[in-house]
Amino acid sequence: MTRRILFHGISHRYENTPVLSSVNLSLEKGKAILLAGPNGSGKTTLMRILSGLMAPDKGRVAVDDRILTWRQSRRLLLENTVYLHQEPYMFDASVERNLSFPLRAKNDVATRGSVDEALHMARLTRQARQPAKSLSGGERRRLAIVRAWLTGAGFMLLDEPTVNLDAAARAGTIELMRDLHDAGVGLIISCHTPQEVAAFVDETVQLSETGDPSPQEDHERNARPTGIS
Amino acid sequence: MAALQLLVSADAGLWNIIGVSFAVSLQAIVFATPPALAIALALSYGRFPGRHFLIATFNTLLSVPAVVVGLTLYLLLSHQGPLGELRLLFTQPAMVLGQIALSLPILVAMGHAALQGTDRRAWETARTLGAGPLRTLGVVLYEARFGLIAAMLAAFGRIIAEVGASLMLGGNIANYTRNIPTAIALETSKGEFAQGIALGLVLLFFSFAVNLLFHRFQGQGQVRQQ
Repeated sequence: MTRRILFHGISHRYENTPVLSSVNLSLEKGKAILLAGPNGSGKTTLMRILSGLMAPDKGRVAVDDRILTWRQSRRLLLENTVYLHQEPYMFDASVERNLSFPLRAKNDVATRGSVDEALHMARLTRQARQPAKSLSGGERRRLAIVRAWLTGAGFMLLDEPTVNLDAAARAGTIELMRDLHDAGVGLIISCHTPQEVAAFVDETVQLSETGDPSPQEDHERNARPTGIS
Repeated sequence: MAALQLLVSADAGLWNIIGVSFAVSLQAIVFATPPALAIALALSYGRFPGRHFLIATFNTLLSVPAVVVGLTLYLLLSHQGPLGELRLLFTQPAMVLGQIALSLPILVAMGHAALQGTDRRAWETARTLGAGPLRTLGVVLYEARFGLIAAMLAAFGRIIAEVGASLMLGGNIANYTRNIPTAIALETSKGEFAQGIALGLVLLFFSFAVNLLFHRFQGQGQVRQQ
């Protein structure tokens, strides 16, 4: 199981507009990184690159001091990370079918036990047979997080996981993220309200509007604009 | 009334005509759907030069008259044509070929529209949750199933009722290549209008049955929650 993935000099542009320029970052098991920055600073683009869903224009990925080609990186990232959209996508199926998707995708035996445990974790046992698309915003977020956890991936990238949620739903989502952090999952969270996750975030990477990374004073430990710690 | 009498009479000739109609059109849909889906997927998810040109071409082919398709294939399959040696002219396989050519643009154009309407997050979510490319493809096709079934129904509706290509490629041979539309054309040319209308109603009745069958896969037929 990969414990650390290094990204160096990640740059990307849409047509002539630079979105990310030379971002350095390391994903580490058990480490939570807050990705902060205004709208348009490239947080979502960066997360999609870090999860292997899109290729950057420039940049390198390294594991165990070995630099990978993008093809190798993509495979590694798809196997080891899960990206959660700002509005999580629910398949047109029941809550429990959605939850068992990662197990079926890997031809794993979707044991009743693991799905039940996941339902309990997301506090959705009562809604198990309900269509997932009929869930509320908060329930969808919890379902998406637990569904991602069932993949067994070491790293999770959560795009604005608390946006548009009421206070109770926000609290439930934050509690789940904290549980994952405690369980040793590496997290990258993009968020406009850093105080919500400050209690368990280990590092903050601040992106500017041009996609340049800059360190944040209060969580400066590992985030540096030029190097990978 | 004549239509009912035709159906209840259990006339062997009529059942043969109905059988030819549905056997040819269903075969055409079965053969045309997989390549059409592959093209629609490539147009929806691929980024390659000439993509817009291809989309415009398939949309244009929607308005090609059946008789033009029939004539083109007739020239290809006739004894002097490049495919004459296959000896397919005036056979059911020739009619199937004609109907494949007619249904393909509908399946591609409507399939492309259905896939274009799917949420890109469906693909990304399946991939990030560990599904391989094939399973992800299955997820996307399932999410687009209502639009894809509509495409199949539209294509089936076009070919089950077309007369031009079937007449030119099948030759309207009794008990072999005579289908409902060519039989209607024949009856009308003989001045047997009642018989023609009766056959038309028979065609509608069986098409309705096929549509009802497909409707089972179309859920409630209402707007879904997102």
